[in-house]
Amino acid sequence: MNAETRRLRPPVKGLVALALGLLMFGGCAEKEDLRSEFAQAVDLEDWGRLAVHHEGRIKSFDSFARTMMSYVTGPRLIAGQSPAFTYLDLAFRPASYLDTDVLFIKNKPTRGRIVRTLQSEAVSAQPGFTARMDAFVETGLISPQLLNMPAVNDLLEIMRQDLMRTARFVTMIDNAKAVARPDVLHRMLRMVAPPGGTFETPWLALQEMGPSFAGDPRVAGVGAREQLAEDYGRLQAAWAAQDAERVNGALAALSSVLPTIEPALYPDADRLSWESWYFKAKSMTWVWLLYMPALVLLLLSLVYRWPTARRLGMGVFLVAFGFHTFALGLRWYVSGRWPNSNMFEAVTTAAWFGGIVALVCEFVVRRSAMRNVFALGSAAASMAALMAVHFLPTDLSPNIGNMMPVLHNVWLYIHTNIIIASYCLIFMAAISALLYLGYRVFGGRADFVRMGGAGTLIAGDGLPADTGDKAASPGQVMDGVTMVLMELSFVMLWAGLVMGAIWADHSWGRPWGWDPKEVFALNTFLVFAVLVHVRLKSRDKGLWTAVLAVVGAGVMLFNWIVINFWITGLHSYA
Amino acid sequence: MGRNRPSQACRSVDSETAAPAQRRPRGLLGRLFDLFSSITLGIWLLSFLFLYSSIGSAGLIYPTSLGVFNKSNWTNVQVRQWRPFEMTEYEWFNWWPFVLLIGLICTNLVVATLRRIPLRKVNFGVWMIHTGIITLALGSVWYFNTKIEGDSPVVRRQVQIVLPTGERDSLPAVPGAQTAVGDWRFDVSEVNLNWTLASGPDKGQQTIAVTVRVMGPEQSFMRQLLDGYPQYTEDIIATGNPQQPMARAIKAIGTALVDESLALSLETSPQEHVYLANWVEKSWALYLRKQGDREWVQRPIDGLPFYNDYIGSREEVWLPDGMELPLDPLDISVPPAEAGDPLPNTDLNISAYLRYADIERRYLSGGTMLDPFVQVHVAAPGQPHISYDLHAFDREKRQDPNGVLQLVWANNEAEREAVTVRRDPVIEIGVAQTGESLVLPLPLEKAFEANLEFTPVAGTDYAYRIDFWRDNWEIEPGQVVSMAQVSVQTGEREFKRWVFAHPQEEQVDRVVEDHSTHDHQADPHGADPHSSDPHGGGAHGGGQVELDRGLDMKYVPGRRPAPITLVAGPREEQLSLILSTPTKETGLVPVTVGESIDLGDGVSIEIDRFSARGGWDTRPRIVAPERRDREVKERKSMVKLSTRDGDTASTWVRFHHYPVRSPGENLRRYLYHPSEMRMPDGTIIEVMLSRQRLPLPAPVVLDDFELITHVGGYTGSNLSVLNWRSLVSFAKGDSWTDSMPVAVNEPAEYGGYWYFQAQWDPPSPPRAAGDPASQGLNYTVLGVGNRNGVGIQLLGCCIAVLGMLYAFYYKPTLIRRMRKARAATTGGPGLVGDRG
Repeated sequence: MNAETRRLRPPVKGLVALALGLLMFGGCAEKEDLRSEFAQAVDLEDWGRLAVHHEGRIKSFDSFARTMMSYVTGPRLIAGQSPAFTYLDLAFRPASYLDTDVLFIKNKPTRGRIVRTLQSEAVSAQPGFTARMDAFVETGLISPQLLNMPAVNDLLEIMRQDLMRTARFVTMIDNAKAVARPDVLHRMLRMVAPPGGTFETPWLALQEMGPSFAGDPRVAGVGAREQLAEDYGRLQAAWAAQDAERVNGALAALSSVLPTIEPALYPDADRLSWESWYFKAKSMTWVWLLYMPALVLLLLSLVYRWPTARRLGMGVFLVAFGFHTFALGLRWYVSGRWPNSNMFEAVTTAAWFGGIVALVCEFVVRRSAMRNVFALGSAAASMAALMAVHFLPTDLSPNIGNMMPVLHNVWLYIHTNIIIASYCLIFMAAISALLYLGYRVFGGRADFVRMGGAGTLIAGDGLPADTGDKAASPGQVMDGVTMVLMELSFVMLWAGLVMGAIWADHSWGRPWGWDPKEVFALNTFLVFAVLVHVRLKSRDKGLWTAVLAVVGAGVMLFNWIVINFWITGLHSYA
Repeated sequence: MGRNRPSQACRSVDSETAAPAQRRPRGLLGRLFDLFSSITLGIWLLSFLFLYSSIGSAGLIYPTSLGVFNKSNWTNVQVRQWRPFEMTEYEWFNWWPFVLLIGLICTNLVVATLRRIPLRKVNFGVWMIHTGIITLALGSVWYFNTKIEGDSPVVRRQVQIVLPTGERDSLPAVPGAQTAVGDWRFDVSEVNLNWTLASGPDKGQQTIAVTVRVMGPEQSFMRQLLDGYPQYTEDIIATGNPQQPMARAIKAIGTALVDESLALSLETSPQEHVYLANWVEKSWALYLRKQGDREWVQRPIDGLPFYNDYIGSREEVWLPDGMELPLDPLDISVPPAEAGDPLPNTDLNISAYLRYADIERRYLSGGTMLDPFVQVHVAAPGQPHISYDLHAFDREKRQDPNGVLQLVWANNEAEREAVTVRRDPVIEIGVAQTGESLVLPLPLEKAFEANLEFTPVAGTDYAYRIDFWRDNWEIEPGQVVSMAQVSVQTGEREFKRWVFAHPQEEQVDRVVEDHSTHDHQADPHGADPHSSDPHGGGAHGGGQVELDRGLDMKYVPGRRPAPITLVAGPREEQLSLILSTPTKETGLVPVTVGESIDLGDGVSIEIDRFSARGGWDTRPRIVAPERRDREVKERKSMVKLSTRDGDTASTWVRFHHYPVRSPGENLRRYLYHPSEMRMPDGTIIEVMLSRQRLPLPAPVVLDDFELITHVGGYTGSNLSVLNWRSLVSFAKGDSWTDSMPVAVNEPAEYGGYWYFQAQWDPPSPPRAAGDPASQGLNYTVLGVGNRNGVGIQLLGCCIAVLGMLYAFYYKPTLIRRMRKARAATTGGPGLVGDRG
């Protein structure tokens, strides 16, 4: 095998270099700027870092606009504009968006039905209609004008009747239309901290500074009311006239006044600035691009026992994990709570836990043949998790919101974090199990570790390092890693379930409610219970372990994806 | 396994498995004993458990076509909800196959552990895991077999009413709540949660202010009650002064209370019951009382389904188009269960159950009753078809909402012809002084015009001006008038006169009223019919004045068929159409069902159905499954009820979330609509379908309710709420316990039951015209439950966790030590202990 490996090395090396080079090139490639001259000239840098009150949180405008625009444009950017720009443009120049494809429709069959409806209308005779519909099917963006045609409204009305299948898609379209309304956008601009107000006092909208609100006692205390009203008016007028210079002047004037109105309630400028940065950096989900080369290199090192790849792979993995940790810490800082309350946070935090466990395991096995496989599993898990949040931003929305009241509990933190960490370990175990199965498919021996995972390491039955004649077989290495991870997740899943029961008992008055998500967490545990006992009975322990580890991960993923998004129960908010 | 150490090094369980098998068979018991020692059996049982719980929880998921990568091609069915099962999740996991499976697993676990795993130090971990599981199972048997779970709504305050006669009543302090007692009616018009005291020693303190509208036999007024300050109770009365229509009684009449003999006070409102959660375990019950009684008596229902519709005949319901429902009648007997049952010797019988239905009255063609009906649809290019049902004998339904389409029944040819008459309205003025009569025809349509010139009446000093007239004007629901308003000037004064035509007969009625115009003179729109109600003129305009007999007026309304008028009769199959649009006027044109009539501009009308005879029937309309809102749960369920011996007509009985005593007690979001059963002896029994209730160990009251929010206060979204906190007290002898908080994640225990914050009363807009909006927070809903055996369950779980840690992480350390010890004595690799 060694000879074979050596022969393979040069082309492999070349391939790696090529892949990395392509990656760098792809990352640096300049994109054409689609924005209008006006959009390019407007400076929203400082404005984006102003505070907005939205649903019980004070956000940066960038973050707020991103949340609001995600209801309208989904994950798409309109003409390359930032969500902040699109928000203001929709508010100040609504007429120019009437026939612009700006409303996002997520459900693809719905897009198809709308296209078929429009095809039988007079509008289909317009030049460019077919291309526009193709673009709509592709991107999901359609103009308010097309969406408001009577025939389309009739279609949506029919879809609204079917509460089981299609009503929720129409609700999403209604929401998109509602949020895109200029009066709503103006009303939501609650950027004025209430002077003399308390923590519970609602913030004031900029439009409430206008003369028609002058008698309102809530507004009366705003010293700079008239100036704010004037600047806001100036901003609207200049924006409508596409006068970038005056827009920038008005923006700058507002940006300097707003934080001074009630400094005691105004949030820390650093936090707002980091929140804006975080979303401009696309929630740092692109870190998957770093995990990918780490995964490739660690795979090469495992298959070809190539030390350079191993060192390089570990290095890249560490860098990626560093970025991952930074993203998590930043989110923690920005939201003011540990990130584990929505699906985005659950997925990224779970993957991060996997990284932590992998690092600890790597330290423990640093002299054993099992080394690097944990990092490999973690790189795969993190890459998958970050790819999921990167490519499915509508299902796994990165927007930061408050937690549901029921989630404010110390047991929640312990329970959910242990559970999601165990889920990540289950995923990593499945990676090593798949590697084992691959090894067997290509004719590997039916090897296994006799003492289980931790047992093999602790009881001095440890696998020797891959040097000398006592080299462990790849089967033993992979089975050992699967078992180490399986044992950890077995304990953690059980403990997490128990803590979930304690929490549920505390919150809902019943420790166990046979909720689908509970049942499938238990089912995952049952698969591992079967695995432990099959390992006692079976002769080909490695094969059975690998198969059941993959089945267990399948049940876990089924729980996370199908149960969460389809068969919803009590846990549906998490 | 070349590179492995010799396998004899591991004295595994496998070698022990062989041991019992080699023994001689010991009969059935022995064989069974061997079977339950087998790990293979355990693996199979765990696999069955996996399957059972997967099917019970997620149901079956399968693709309906070959495109398996398209999510919409997959379907999900819940097996436990099928007709033979009708089980909630809780019931599925308490069903005998599940209990049997768990029993087998536990037996297997015990036998296998005792026979195969020697109780040695290395095996402590396995023993602990298995002991923990058994402990958990035992705790769960206790827990699940004694489980009670439900909810109790607790209203924060109620208004206690003591009438001058000594009669008592109460109503919840929730906006819109109302009650009637004796000649009095009361309703809560406002609950202000942040009332600031303006005077007194507690000036500046905030409290709850409840405003009750009192409609007594003699007068009506508002009474304001302040929570905790009964001494500040005061009345607010109407002044008749438009500048300040309402005033405090103390200012207007000098006393704080209009009627001292009527006592209203704010009290806490004890809740004595917990209503069992139907979705945990089906807990249906019927509630009965004699009409006129106040308290309900419950009858638990055993065996009523939950998820599917059960009917005995398709004629007892309205089925949605295309829905196929098998005939599957129920036969469930509901005997009396409690003392005080109004029918102590009568069993009730349920013959049908609907999961999700609305009561609907519909027209059915045929029969002997004359009740003409036409269904038409209007088709216009680029527009969807709009269908209309017209009923000639129904004032509301004889025309479409815009009054464009109308259906008229003609008893004879003369009536048929009369429909075609087109005549303008006429006003006739008889002048007493001269004996002359002026007949003034008016155009049919005219907009209101102010400041027209007055026309003098020759030979008198009267002058008149016709301000407006209007035919078939619905001034309030159900009251239609045709009238004209005429302004009259005499030498010394000016007044307005309303001249009403007789609503039915087309003769002039002498319903004439004069109104002084003092308040109108500055404002020509004062009598604008669009802004005011002529009958209420006294309240907002000039007062009614004595009729001036100098001019006698009659108003004859105009006649003209509706733009599209269908005339049915006099022969039953005869139907004709008259068009009376600006562009097209026709006489009677015979039309038939299926015929399309062109109205111009591509618009056409088509007759879809026509029948002269028919009748109305009221039945539940089953809602098609895809139109059912999950959130509605069982709130639209109903059963068909009759007495067991069939001597009464059966009636549909609808589900009520809480069986409250009166509509006044009903909480804002729920239905209150008890059904009535007339017994053979003439008594009327009221009945509703609801959930079983149990008495609480002690009545509970809500002292206060707090909403704790995130920054910026409550925005209408639950995401802005940090927590909800109910402060509750329980009855303890003759007094109450101290307030204890019940918040999310912060339950309270009293009398063996645990209380949880389950739901709250959010702010809500008016439910209908005239209904007050609500600031919310008027009541809380507490989750109530017991939790026997939770401690044992937890103990079992913890033992298992420790066992796992021991088996996975401590046992290898032990083995290492043993190996080292053995290596020291034998100089070779040592033996390894059992593994579990």
